[in-house]
Amino acid sequence: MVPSIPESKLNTHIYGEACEWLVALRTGAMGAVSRECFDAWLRKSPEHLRAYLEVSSLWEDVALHDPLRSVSAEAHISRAKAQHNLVSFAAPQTRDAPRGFEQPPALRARTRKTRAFALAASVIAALLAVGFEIDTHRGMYTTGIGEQRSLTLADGSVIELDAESRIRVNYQTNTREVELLSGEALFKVVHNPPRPFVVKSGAVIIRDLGTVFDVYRKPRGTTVTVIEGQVAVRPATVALPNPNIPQRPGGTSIGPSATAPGGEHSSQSGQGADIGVPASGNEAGHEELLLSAGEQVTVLPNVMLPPIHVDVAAVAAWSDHKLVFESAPLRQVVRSFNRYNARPIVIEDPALENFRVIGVFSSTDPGSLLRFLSAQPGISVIENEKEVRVTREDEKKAPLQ
Amino acid sequence: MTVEERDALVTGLAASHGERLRRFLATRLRAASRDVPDLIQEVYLRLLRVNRPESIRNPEAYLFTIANHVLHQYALRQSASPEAAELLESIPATDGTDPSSEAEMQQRMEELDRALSQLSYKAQAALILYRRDGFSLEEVAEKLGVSLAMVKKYLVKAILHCRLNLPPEA
Repeated sequence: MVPSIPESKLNTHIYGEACEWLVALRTGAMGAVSRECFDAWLRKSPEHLRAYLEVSSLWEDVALHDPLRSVSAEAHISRAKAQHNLVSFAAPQTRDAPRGFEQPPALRARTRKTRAFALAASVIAALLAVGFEIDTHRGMYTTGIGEQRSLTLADGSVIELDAESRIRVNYQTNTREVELLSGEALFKVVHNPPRPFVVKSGAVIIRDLGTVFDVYRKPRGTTVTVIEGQVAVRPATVALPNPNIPQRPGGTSIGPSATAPGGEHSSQSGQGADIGVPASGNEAGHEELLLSAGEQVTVLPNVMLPPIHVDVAAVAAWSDHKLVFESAPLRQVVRSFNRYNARPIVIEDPALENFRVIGVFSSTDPGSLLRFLSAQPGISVIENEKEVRVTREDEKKAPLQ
Repeated sequence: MTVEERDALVTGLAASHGERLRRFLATRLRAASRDVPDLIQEVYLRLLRVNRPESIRNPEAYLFTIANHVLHQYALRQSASPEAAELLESIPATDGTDPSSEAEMQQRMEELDRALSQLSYKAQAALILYRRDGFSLEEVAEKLGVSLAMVKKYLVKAILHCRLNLPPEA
């Protein structure tokens, strides 16, 4: 295919520097001075930037290599000691080829079709963005701040993964299981009754009945919204335990939002879904609840709240990089934005937390929200390089920067 | 369309731009590709447009965010062609396979294994212990009987060696 760049053209020096930066960045915290140097280094030339992207990709690959642990680091250490601690950059030519690098034949025997599919899969998803962590051996998919991913699974089902989210895909011959470990995902499932599609999120299990549905795992509970078709929802406590999916107890983490568990979803505000009042809910631990298109249910660790009707377009709007708020409290709006943007928005005055926001914003452009807020009487927006502070006008005397 | 034709088309499509994209995305940029310099240039120019005080706070995060956006737009442009869309709809479902390109991944891993095996045992051990097995820098230093600084040197050496010695893309 395409010829590679001749070795002589590679700028070894730049790669060397890139590796130095990489290791420095990955093995410890970096001081302000170093960060500034690194920033300046990256800005030197496109080649510097390219070299850094390349070596950081390699760094990720190394973590994935040899998942069977067939190469023993201890064996290397003892060999090294046998060499009288002689450290040579190039390995001795005479030594045996490391046995452990052999792959099991089953892994090696790939049909052409599988390979073609694998290639095609790489086209499909517009795949593997830099920083999109992919671990095929464990079926784990993670997105960072501001990053959204579309995964097409082997059966044609599609998972849209929102920013700061993490899922584990476990496809077996007779089951399709996905665990939502954090964040939010939209599932477009190809229905296949003999091979049920099940999503697990904290304390809740969702069984697909031919649908498109959204699952949002929050610090204390999970909100399930059906866009099309139907799903069956049941608390995980009545599920058959599956040893392949380690149970992470939902709702036990007490995050900063623990005092405000209600209405965290961008779409459900103004719908009367005050999940902070569990008394109105059903006891969890009973039968499955059938949820139809347009319905949403929130499941807390011990309580399944009654389903409510929601605007499904608003729920799924994030997959178009839109955030839709219909009279949502500011704390919820801010939390949503902070999932997409590296510089966090901080509400300084607690009185502003329940300030109601109505509007459609671009998830990747907090500027639209900040302009909206600045225009509100009594609200002041202060930006510095670390964060954006939202405070009340009369506190403007607070020192800037 | 027969299965063979479809496979050929899939492979052809992947070769024409999908693979190039994937390669870039995996930032294995050593394969010469016409688009890569443009994409890199775009990332670079956008980085220069970011205010330095902002990017200094976390230069790496900025770099990746920008690269992500550029790649996303590139992917959108690439997937806009009708035959790509049609093809993607007709891709056969395979059972029990992960969505990502396992075969390619495997090939990359084999190449990586080869490159790693040319390193000194200590450099290999350092990289494996730190990256694959998740030991801390201190633990790796103790196991190898060397200083923290030395472990870092091994890591730098190992990654640089891999980068310079991976074979050209097939």
